[in-house]
Amino acid sequence: METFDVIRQGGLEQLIFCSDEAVGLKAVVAIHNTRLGPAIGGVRMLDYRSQDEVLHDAIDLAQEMTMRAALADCDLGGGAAIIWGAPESKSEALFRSFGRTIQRLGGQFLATMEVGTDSRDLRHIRRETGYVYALPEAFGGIADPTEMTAQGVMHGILATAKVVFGKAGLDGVTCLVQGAGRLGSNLVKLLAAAKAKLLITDRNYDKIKNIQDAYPDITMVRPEEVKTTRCDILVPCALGNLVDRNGVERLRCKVIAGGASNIFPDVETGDLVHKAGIIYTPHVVIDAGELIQADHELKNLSKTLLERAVAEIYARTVTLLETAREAKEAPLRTAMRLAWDRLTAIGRIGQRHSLLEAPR
Amino acid sequence: MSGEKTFRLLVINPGSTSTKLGIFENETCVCEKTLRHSATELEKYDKVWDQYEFRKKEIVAFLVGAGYDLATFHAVVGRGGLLRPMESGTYRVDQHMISDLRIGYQGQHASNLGGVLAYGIGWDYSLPSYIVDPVAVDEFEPISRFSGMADIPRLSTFHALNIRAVARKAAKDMGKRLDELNLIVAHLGGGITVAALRKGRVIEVNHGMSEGPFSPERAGAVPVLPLVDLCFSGKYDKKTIVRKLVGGGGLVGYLGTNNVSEVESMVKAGNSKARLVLEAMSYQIAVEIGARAVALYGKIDAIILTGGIANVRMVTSWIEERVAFLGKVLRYPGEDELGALAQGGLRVLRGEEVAKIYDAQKKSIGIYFSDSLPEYDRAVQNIESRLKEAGFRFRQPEENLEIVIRNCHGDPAKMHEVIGEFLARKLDLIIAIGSPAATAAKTHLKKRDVPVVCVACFDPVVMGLASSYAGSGNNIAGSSYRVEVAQQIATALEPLVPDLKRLGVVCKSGELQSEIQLDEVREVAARQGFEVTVFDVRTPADLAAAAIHFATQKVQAVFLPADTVSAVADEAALAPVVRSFPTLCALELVIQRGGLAGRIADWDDLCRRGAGLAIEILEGKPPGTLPIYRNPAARTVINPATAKTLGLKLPPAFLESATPVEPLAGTRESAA
Repeated sequence: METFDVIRQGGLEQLIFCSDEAVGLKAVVAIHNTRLGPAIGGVRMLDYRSQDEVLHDAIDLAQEMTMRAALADCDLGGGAAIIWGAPESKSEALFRSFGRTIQRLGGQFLATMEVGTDSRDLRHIRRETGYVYALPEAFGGIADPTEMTAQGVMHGILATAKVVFGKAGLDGVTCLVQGAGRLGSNLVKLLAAAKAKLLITDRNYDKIKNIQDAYPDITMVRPEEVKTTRCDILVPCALGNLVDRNGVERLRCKVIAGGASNIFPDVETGDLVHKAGIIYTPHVVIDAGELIQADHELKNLSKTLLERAVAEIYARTVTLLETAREAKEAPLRTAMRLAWDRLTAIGRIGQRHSLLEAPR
Repeated sequence: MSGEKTFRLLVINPGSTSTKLGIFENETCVCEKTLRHSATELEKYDKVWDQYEFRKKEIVAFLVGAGYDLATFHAVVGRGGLLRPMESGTYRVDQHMISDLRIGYQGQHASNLGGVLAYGIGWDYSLPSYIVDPVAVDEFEPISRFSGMADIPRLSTFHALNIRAVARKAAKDMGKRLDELNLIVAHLGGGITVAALRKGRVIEVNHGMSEGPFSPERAGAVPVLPLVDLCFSGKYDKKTIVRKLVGGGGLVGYLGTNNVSEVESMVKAGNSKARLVLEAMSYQIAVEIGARAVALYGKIDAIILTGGIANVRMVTSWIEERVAFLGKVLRYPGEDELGALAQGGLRVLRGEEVAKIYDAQKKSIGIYFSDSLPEYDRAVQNIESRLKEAGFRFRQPEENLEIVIRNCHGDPAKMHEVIGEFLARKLDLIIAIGSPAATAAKTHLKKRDVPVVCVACFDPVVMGLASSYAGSGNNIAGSSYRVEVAQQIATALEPLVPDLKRLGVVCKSGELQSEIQLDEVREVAARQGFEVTVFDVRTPADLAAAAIHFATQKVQAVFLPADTVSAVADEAALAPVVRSFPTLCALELVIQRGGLAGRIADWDDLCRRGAGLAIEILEGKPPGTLPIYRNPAARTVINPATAKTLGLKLPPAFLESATPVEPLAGTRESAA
């Protein structure tokens, strides 16, 4: 497909390619929508098989971020950055080179962490540009972004349990956490504290072992058994499609609520899940903790206000699920509609958000 | 063999300072590597368990460096660790096993890493992970568990992996299956264990650390009282004593070396002390082999010497001289733990064996009772039925509960033996059915680690099992069938013998519950103004004399209390009494066997309630906090045939309230 067709089909405002052979940098920055504010997005680093896959993921992530920001009441737009390469090939020079690219965009794109990058990598980027947000407190942020995301997802799960099971709290509710990375392991702590009955899976045993050493009663589930394991709430926190159209009927959960992106290949699969009687709480509603942190940092707001804003995810989730129930549609459809409503309304104002001053 | 599928296995055998790896293509080891870990590398970790990630990285790095792609393997096999006692065989590693390895169920040891390393690598590469014949293999029979000291049951801890691998190899060389043979296998290494294998099962073996012959560095069995004196002499701390027994014992203690070849050279050079010590070790090994021959009733197909010392001809010839009369002696020198582990994995991959499931999550309970009685039969049925209702599955392939049932056939010694067996098996819970079993529980099980439920006993508080009805305050819970004697007399005797002047009472003096009921009768007699004639019995045969005595004393009725005489008396033994007098019976089975009437607790209800207590305990409730169940729905039971025999006219009001006794059912003879 021609590059301009990719931009058009993805609804992007801009697609920026960057290359620095000297340090092995190949990257793209996708800016999807800036009606609400400058595009914010994670910097993902993965070894994709093809350029098409890179662009596909960049567009998906950027579109999701637009929705996430719109639903989270943030003054931010949606974007995404992808560094194409194996995380093992990371170097200071590579990230600093990428940092200069972001700096050249003059505030149109604000970077945060994503899969494949960590706070150490983002610190290298920040040596070249100030457009880096939601770093841990030790590195100048106002909170630990992973913790904020986990708290947000937890509020979303609690709200979903309230709406779906009519239950305040998670005591005795079976939760299967898929993915024992940063978000998954943080969520395990919160779910265990809430006395949920916990199951966990990850493709990498060492991550699970660390969790099981800390929580001996947790049950381990083989990655290939996730879909067929009976549980109340499936909490996706890992990369990749969780279920395709053919796999919906194998699902044995009552609710899906987690922080993983792209768990369905398309919206129609989400509809099928809904028809199967499984409530999917859209991740873009509940995994906005890191985004909200970035929004608060941009506005120089305190950690207390940040935590309060993250806690609002509970009420937002309840409203969304009840609205969806009344409209007799999948919550994902409702979320998309509400996000679009806000984008349209603010878009009518007719004045594009001014770019931020470049903080150095 | 051409066309045979080639399985590639990674075998991991962690030691304290190294990790041995083997890559096998079927039985052939195509790569063997010992990864040595320096003290500096290991001292960073507080516990052996924490070395997991370090060792795994080393293993994966070696494999990658050697050009192996783990995705091309078929299984990972690790050395099993100090797990719960288990049958021999190949086990699939699962998270329950990992949990026990983490806590070190029987202690911390580098071998505990074998299972988790196999599991971790298997998980990452979607390969099955196994352990084979860990040192925790335990196939002892009850009789082997007695040490002679009730507090210390004997445990099965030995060189299971090599002993079983060598036994399999020998069986193959003899052209037989292992389960067709009786073998004695002596593993002669740094530690020495001598096992008796009956049809493939290790039914007797000396503990590798604390029993049997002395070895190159272990003391083996030592005179106990002098050891106690040494322990309390104030000269040594525990660590030093243990070091004298393990590591610093045996040849090290006598000769300062654990190298048997070196000792052999000393002997050849004319060192008489070295000769005496080495010959003594060989002598003790031969004596141990002789003991195993006894365990097998002398029916021995072969005696096998294996392990590193089996290479030392001087030692093996001394042993052979003494044991050759028992049977043929075969030598399989050395040991091949990596090969044995690989073979265990291969047997499963080839479908020759099914990988066993480690049953840490499976609960196990023991049920015992004193004798073959229909009541006990019904009790077992009720308990099992209640457990099934609670979701427990037993005696089926995917069971989550193992139930061991033991009938003691009226033998108090057998009851003691059964309790010893239950303790040694580390069961999750013991159920004692009936009063005799509860009495034994009081003597042998009270205040022990294991929870005990005394189902349908006379009265746990009166019997001293529990401190109060609100909860025993100890490891015992239970249900009581006791119905107060005053209630029994008022409801089941007075309506039939309205003008009672003299009541005969059969009593087994010395039996607590029998004496308590007699006291109760006397209290009622004092209140109501009738006399009591007591006849002391020891066995059911004494009931005939009791009947004569009661006749001479002109009693109008006889009370047969709930005790061990009434419980086991059959119809013939009871006949002289029950056919001559109206009888008030505290046990329903006595009425079934010809007694007249009684006020009887609902036995089925008692047993199901008792099982309910067991379920609560299995689910985590402390037994001492559970109230004693003692309010059974009692009912009045009458035997109309006996009433007819005695020529009694039953009052209509009584007939309305009484239940005719049910016929006698068969007894549980099948329970071993």
